[in-house]
Amino acid sequence: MNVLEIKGVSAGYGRIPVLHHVSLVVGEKSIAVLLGANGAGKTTTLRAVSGMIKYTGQILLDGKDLKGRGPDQIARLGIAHGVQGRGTFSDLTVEDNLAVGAFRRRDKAEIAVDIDQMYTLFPRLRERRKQKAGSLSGGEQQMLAVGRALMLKPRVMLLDEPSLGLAPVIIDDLYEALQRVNRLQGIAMLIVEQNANLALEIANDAYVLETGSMVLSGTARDVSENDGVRAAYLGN
Amino acid sequence: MSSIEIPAMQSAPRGEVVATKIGVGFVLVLILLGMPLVIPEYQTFQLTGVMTYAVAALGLNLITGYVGQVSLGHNAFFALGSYAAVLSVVYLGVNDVVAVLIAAVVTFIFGVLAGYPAKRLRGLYLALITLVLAVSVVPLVKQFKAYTGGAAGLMVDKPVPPAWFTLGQDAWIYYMVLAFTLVIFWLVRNFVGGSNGRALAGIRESELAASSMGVDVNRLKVIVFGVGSMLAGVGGALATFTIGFIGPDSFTLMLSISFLAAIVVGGLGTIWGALVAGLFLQFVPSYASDLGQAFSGAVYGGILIACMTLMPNGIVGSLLKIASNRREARKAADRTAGKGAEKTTVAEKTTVKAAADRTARAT
Amino acid sequence: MQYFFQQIVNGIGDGAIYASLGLALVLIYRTTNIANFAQGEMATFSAYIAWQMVDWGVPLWWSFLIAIAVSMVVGVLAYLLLVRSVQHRDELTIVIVTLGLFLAFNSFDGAMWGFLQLSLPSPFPEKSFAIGALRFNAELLGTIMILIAISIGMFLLLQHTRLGTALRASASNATSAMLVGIPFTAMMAIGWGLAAGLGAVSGLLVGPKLTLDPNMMGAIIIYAFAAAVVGGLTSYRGAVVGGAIVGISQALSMAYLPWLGSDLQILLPLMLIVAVLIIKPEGLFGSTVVIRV
Repeated sequence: MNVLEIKGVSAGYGRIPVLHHVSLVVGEKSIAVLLGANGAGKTTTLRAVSGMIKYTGQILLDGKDLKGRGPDQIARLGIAHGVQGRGTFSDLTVEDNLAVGAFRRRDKAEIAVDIDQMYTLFPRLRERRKQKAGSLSGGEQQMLAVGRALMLKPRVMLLDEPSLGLAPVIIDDLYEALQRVNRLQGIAMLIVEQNANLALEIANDAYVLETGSMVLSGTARDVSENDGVRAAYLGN
Repeated sequence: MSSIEIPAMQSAPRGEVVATKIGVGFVLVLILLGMPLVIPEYQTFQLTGVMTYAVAALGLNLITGYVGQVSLGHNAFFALGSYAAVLSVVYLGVNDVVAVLIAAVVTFIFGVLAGYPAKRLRGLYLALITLVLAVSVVPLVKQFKAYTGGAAGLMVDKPVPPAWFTLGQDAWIYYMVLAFTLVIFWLVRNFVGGSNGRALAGIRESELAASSMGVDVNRLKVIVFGVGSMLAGVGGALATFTIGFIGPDSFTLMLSISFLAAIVVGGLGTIWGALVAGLFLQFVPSYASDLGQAFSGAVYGGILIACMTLMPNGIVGSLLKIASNRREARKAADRTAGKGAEKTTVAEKTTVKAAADRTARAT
Repeated sequence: MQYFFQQIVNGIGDGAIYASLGLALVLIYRTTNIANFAQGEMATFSAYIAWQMVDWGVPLWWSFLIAIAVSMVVGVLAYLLLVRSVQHRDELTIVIVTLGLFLAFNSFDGAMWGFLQLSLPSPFPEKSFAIGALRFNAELLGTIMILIAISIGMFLLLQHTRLGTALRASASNATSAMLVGIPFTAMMAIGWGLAAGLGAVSGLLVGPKLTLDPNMMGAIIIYAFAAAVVGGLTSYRGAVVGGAIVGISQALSMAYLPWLGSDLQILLPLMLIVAVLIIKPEGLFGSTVVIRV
């Protein structure tokens, strides 16, 4: 059973087409990684899924068509989208950021438990819980963005270059945390990355986009053994 | 990344357009000169009013339409010009034309002073500062009762025609105002038509881009604020001499809002929009108030909202747009023949670009 | 000395009214990034609704509650029907549209209720209390208590409820707010509704003090802007403190600078606006974000 299915999606900005008949699936409790160069259409794919841009084709969450729904409705159905860079609420405290992440949920007691769990996952955030998100470092903001997306208790989580601009040690921590969440809570993920090594390590499936078209797909292992991919994305 | 193709300038019809424009202008001036000979006195008086408002509206259009600064203080400069002119006739004994020129100098100086802090304030803050100017007028006028006549106002001696002029006082004032109006419109047209105009448009679109093009954005903004305020002052002085009365009730915040409504209706950032604004200011309030006191506010409010949401270019702006769309359509029709060839080039380019990208990545 | 303190007390009473309208301005500016020039006229409209209810025989406090409720609905409608379509346009457009709204409310009031002055009864008894040598009348105390109640209520709503957090999140980052499932349009509309409610309170406090006519709030909105600008239009605390500053300075200038006359009193808050805008446009309470590297 697939959580998320993207079928023949084409999209663009204004009159400029970016995606051409892109298809991919994210299986139940699995992690898919989407690779590609700058401008290949990775971010556009995520935007189409979370309802931020118009598209042709079909996008299904648990078999339910998402077309025509706004980003807020799609989020309430269970898609969390961690946007690239600073998607945090900079005027709100760390704790409020996490609380807002749980907006679609009504289980008050469990929300408190989950916030605490985020602090266990990212101990730095616990230290800064009363600080405004705008005052955090880039790495801390990234963790907060992931934590906030997790607070939604999503069916599937979309992450756009979560490692961008982070120190290698922090990237390791982050990916470890993602893997743990995926195993323990069974949250499916679609991760966009340029820096592919780590992403391929934790992923089940992998897709490669080139100038808006899907050129390669398969299990993460198969894709990481592909010569072209090795040359272009893995640096060897 | 992307290659933008700039269409070649079509300069051939330019000369024709200029010639037509000069022709139209010439005919218009002739008609305006002949007006007092054919229309009744009261309508001459009304037309004079249209021109005084148009001059002031042109000033606001410079500030708001061309540079994009929100000013709510136009009533203050309109009032300042009026009082400066009236008081210099009373206390300095100068003639009316000199009085109007004094009003121009005074309002230009105050405009620059007000524009100076304004240059570094964003739109909203400027609106607030000028709001302060707008609401200061009435209390100040009332305070300096000895000179202004306070709330009751003052009767003003209208300009008296010389003995050889036989068409009457209203026509005499009409010609005086017409002379000022023509000179001002001509000067402003040249000001916004040349390199200054491009710099102004640059400021409105993006200050950063304009300053990187070498435009001294701050200096230009202050100057425009000064000139715009000066035109308000000249318009105010002329209007007061036309009407023969000055009093604070005609200079409330409502006047500024009316000016704003009028230039929005006429067309922001167009010269002729100011003329439409003058007609609007002269005729709409009196007709609207015939229908009831509440109605004039409703008319202005409705017009402001409707124009901004439905017709952001105003009357003149919309007409210009329709005209330019027509021209575009004609050009497009001319081009269709060559279109097939163009398409293949684009397709080729894409393939080439994709290949280039791949090579770039492989290396 | 006692006279001096009495003036300060009176000034705080007026300041509380400016503050409540100033809070409405801040609320709208923070949630929708719009300075609502029509806020005062919307408050006048609220006062007319209350007058109408009283005229129809509805008990006074009920009339006031109904007026507040109606105002909130009108605020929501103003956003949904009008402001929403221009919200993301340039500042010039937005300023012009709120001025249009200003005129629309002003002339609606005039058309419905005329330009003659009406009187709205005061909700407070005509009693006064003495604490030491200072006198507090019931109206003054009531006004201050209402402002305190409003401030606490807003603090609780914004800081300690799900709705409040969602409102703050939408104001902070609209895209991210939608991506966690917060309905953006609804939040903006609620912001306008709440602000209209706050404005209504100020209108209902002003109405009985002055006489009710369509231009009743003409000066008050300037004072409220002065109060809000003290906090850079973004700080609730700034609006309350600003309201007090304006109210007190006004009371003191009337007491000690009689040569200014009643006409020039308005110049004091105006000078405050200009001074703050020129010297510190982000306001005296503007939150500066500490950037850690």
